[in-house]
Amino acid sequence: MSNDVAIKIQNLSKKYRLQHAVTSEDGKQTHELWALKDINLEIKKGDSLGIIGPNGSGKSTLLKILAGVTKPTSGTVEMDGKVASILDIGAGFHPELTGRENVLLNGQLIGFSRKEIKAKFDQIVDFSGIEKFIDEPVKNYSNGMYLRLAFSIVACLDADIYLFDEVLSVGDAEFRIKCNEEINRKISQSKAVIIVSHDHETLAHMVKEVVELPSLKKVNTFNESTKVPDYVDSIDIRNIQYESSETKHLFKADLLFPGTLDPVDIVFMIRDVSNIYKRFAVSTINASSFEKKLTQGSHAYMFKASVSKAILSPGEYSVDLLIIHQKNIVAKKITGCLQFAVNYDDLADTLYNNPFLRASWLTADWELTNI
Amino acid sequence: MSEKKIIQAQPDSFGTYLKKIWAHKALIVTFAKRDLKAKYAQTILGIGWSILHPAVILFLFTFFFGYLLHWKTGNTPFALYVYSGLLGWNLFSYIVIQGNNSLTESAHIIKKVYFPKLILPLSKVLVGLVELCISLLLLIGLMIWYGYVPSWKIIFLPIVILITLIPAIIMVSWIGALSYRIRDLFHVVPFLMYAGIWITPVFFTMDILPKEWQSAWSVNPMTGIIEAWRWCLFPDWKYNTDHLPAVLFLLPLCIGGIWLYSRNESSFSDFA
Repeated sequence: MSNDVAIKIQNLSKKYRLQHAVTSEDGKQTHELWALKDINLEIKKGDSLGIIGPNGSGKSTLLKILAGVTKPTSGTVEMDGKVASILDIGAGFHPELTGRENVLLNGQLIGFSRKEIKAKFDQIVDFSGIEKFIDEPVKNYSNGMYLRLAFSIVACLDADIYLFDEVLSVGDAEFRIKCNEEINRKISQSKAVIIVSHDHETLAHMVKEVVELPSLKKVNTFNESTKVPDYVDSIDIRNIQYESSETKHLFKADLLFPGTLDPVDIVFMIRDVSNIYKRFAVSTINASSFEKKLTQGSHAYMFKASVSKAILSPGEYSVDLLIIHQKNIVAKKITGCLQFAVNYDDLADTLYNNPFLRASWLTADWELTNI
Repeated sequence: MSEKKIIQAQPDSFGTYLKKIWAHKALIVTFAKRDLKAKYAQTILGIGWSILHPAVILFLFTFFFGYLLHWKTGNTPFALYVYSGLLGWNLFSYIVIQGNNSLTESAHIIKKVYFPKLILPLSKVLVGLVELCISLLLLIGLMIWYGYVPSWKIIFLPIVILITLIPAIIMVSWIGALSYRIRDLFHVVPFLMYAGIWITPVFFTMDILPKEWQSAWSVNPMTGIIEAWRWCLFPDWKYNTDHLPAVLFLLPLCIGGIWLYSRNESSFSDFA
């Protein structure tokens, strides 16, 4: 196994025995259920992989095998580095113990020493944002607080391979963004991250690659055929602008493409950052796939999204620019490239400022010009 | 980044398994602390329960058999005799019952986090030892009350305590390793613990048994162990070496049990 590979999965299969017989594909009665069959996958250090698939497609089983919780029926997994996993919110939390005691318990379960955990304790509590309740038995915690603490433990302790199952969808938007940023940071530090989810959309913004189970073909070919081409990486984002008048929002981006181009999506993602309840994407303006075949040399384009119809609640917004390759790979993401505020003087102190009554919605017309 | 590992279908070798347990030894302590804390959380008596429980049992045995039935236990006061038996028996039965429950009790953990599963019953061993230390306070109290001075033989008590753990670990490992397939074994444990106190001289002496039956009791290794407790604690206690062969059989059974456990434990998370 070469040095830059974090996880190498070879011919991995897992069979479960059922209590009742089921009819298999070839029409025979069988007690066997193959949750995974001949899975081959390689994950490099600094890679992030999303795994999706319907219920029963084996995605959780795969993660369980990687976490060492269950053994495969055949095949091997080679792993290089310390593994930290959250397969369930607060697995290993004891309800009667306090948050503080559970941090120690959980950290040790994941495989860290008391010393390592104590050294990072303040950081963990700080990240979780629940310092007020840290000496409270966790049976009194909400689901969100469980997740905050559980994720913080994993986030703050230094592992090399991170495994997350479904869990990240539990937290509130503010914490989700925090998790997202932390996962991005891990990836930039050459850690390997695997996230399992049934929600394709969430993953698309979180990880570089998404694999679907159980369709073996995709798993096998994904790495080669849909890897982000180098040139997408070298798209130069030269200038991003925002203009607004009473009735119009205009987003402009100058992008320099270096050469041949496969379809990409250009997306402005607008996040409401003025209110913690809504600190997630409130709207996206999505250019239809940009499919122009470019041949040689560099080509500069100006992408202009003019918002024709918009309802934006008063508040502050942050805009991310995303270049999405092949529908699901975030090839490039610039967070917070623009900031703008929406004010309606005559609406100050009215219900529009109530965080629960805020709404945002917009549509845009796209324009593409050669420059 | 030197932590390379390979996951495959074959179970770990016995040596690797023991190494893994050693690497996770801190977890044994953590689980034991968790149990102790959770056990006494929000109780008024707290740790007092660990004294009260054996004290009440001791009172009942002493009242019925010592006081009402006038059973004799040689030079040793009846209460002291019964308590010396209860200490070893309670340690044994606590570990067996709790150790077997520990897998189901922690099913949510073993389905989500990896560690050698033997850690769970081993943490119960530690909890049992802590409880024993608390129960020993009552023994010291009883000895002072009866003006009973132990002899030099008391220095062997720690060894006898360790030997008491062996049959407990045997029961836990064999039953644990097989019960995930043979669920009947779950029912056997409470039954064995209930019946066991009648085939072990805990609250009666071996003399009340007909001579020709005594050897039947010696087949039970717990007889030899409980008698060893008394040999340590009571200066004039004679140890009947007929009990020894059964005790010697324990060591291979114990190693065999842990080996079996190590072969089967990877399946626990699929069946729990």
